[in-house]
Amino acid sequence: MKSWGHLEEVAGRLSAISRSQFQSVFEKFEWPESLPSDCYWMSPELTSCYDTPVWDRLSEPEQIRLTQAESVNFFSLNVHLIRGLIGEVSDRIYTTRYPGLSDFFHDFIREENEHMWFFATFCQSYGGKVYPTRGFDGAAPAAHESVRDLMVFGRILIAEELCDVYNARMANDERLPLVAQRINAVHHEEESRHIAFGRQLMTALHDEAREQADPSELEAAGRYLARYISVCLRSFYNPSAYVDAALPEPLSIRGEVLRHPSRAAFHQSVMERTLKFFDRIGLPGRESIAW
Amino acid sequence: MTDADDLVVQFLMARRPELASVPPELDLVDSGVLDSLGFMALLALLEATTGREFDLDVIAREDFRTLARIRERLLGAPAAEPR
Repeated sequence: MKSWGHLEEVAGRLSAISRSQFQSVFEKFEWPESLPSDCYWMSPELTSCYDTPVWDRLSEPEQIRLTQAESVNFFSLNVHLIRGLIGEVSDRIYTTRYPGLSDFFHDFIREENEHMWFFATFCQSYGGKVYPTRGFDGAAPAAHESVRDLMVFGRILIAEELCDVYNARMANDERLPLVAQRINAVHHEEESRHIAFGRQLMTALHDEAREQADPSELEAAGRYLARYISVCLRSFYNPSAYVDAALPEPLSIRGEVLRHPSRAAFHQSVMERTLKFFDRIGLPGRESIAW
Repeated sequence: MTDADDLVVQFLMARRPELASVPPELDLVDSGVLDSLGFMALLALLEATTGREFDLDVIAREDFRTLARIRERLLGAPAAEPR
């Protein structure tokens, strides 16, 4: 298939860029002892309560505390995403299914390992912890390996692109501490290569699945990824972060903001780019997303 | 049956509409009722209906394996007497 051949070319180019731009992750950041407690750590417009009556009811110090707890939650989500991603890619390195990609996979794992380190360092240094994941890892059930891989790498691409929307918006937000801006900027820059590869891989897997798998399996994969989008978006509404921001009745807050129509509109806006890509390759399932 | 219990049963049946009921010892994973995404959705539903936030360091995938286990570990029902 043409898309598989192109995948190797893209991977080769991306590996060359990664190696030519290599700099130790330990030299990329200056870590202050502590961060100011009276400023946003995350753009307020990206927090889970923004543009709802809950946000309006919060005092300014509460709003600031929420951005701080949610910055730690956002970076924790990245940690768990990367943990799963490295596992999936490691499972496929030096296998006969992905010949010619092992060199790229080495660079990919190295970069992702570095990303996980700086996200976790921020969480532990300034939030005192990495929030635990609210899900359980699990293989997507499918009979044909192309469909199984389509679900695995589809999940990864969805989460990467969603987090990248946040990274891109915060990379130059001068209201945030410098280290927070820099983490978002570095991740946005390096992740753009992984997203480019992820899209190429999804195109190849989708072509393969269309040729070799039962159409009903492909439709089920689309519905699975639609459910994943809903779950992924809801992981930003972490009651533990509301507790850490000292907000009253965290579970009620989550329910109230999730029911507000402005949040569904926000979810659609942050997923728009990814869904356009899925439409372009012909992946079904968009209509079953619970916004 | 409590409201929370009722909601959990409804949630599980909605995922497999062909089931006439959810036997308490049915393996929810092997029978395809719950997958990894279903766990997360059910967890959110349980927290919303019980008003309790579950400690994710304490609960495990096995706690979602059967309706009986969900009742015992997450809805606070007493464990069945060993036979």
